[in-house]
Amino acid sequence: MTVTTDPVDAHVAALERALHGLDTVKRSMIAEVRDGLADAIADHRRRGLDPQRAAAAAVRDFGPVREVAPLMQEELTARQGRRTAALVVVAFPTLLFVWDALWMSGLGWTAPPSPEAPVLARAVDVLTVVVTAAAFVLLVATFRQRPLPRWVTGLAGLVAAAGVAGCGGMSLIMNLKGPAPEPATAVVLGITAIVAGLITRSAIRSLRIAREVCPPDELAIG
Amino acid sequence: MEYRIRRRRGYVASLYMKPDAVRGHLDGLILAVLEDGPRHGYAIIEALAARSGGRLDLPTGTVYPALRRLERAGLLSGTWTTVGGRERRTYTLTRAGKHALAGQRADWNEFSAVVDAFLRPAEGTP
Repeated sequence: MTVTTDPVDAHVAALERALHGLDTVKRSMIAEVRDGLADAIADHRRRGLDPQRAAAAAVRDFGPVREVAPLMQEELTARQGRRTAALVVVAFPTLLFVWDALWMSGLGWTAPPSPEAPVLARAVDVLTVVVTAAAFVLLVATFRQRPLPRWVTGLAGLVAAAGVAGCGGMSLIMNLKGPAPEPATAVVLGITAIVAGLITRSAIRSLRIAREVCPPDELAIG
Repeated sequence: MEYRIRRRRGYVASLYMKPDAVRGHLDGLILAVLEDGPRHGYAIIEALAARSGGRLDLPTGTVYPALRRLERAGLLSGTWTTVGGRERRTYTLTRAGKHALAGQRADWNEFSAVVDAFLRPAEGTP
């Protein structure tokens, strides 16, 4: 029995295997490529080629996976860096504002804070400003027209991870050493934990994708 | 047969249109073909081929990441729209894209004028 593989399906599958990054962006890129290859096949068919030859010609015109995949991966890596940097730029100042509002409203704690709390709170404020400023610079960098160096995405991951570890760690100490949290504090703490989880996940993805290059075995076809 | 000859001619012409040199200007070429109005990816590829008279022979797959890069830079906006019952990603030149195109045109005119001043055969040269 002979198994015939559609050259377009095989080519797109190889491209898909070679790419790593945000699922929505990757899906969109692959769908666009598939759409373009369908147009190319139709074009070759109009010029008189049979379906099999038209598909082969469309794949040949498209170019080998080893040539196209690294260019697409650059964009996926850049988008991941942008996502992480944007998340930090929005989340860190928002959380700082929410915690300050809770503190000033008097709803968060009824008992006086621990002696270390003012110093730690100031340190969290300073770190938040530094992390947000660094992430903002990296976010702006993702708008450059030329290919974005992978280290920008790696640095975005590093800044996000350092921000979560630093601010999260100090906030945790403040809450553990301080009086028992009131319900309002517990709610904000829960929201903060969820946001920190999202940023950490994005940071890990950025660090991982910045280290990755398209593995040679995944570029084997084409 | 005619088709094969045309492809062969295209290949020969591409030897003169060095791919690396073209890639350096691909962004400007894409922005220029979108000046007339929005197009989807393959229509952009066709427009590039048509405007170059078939001399531009880049792998079509390299155009898609270039479109994404220009979109990331804010020079194009890309949206999925339904065209003729098919979902297609259509690109439109943004205000920043028009500005960048004008800048690239000015740079190119200046550059080509300088190179032309050197490479144009002097009057009286056989």
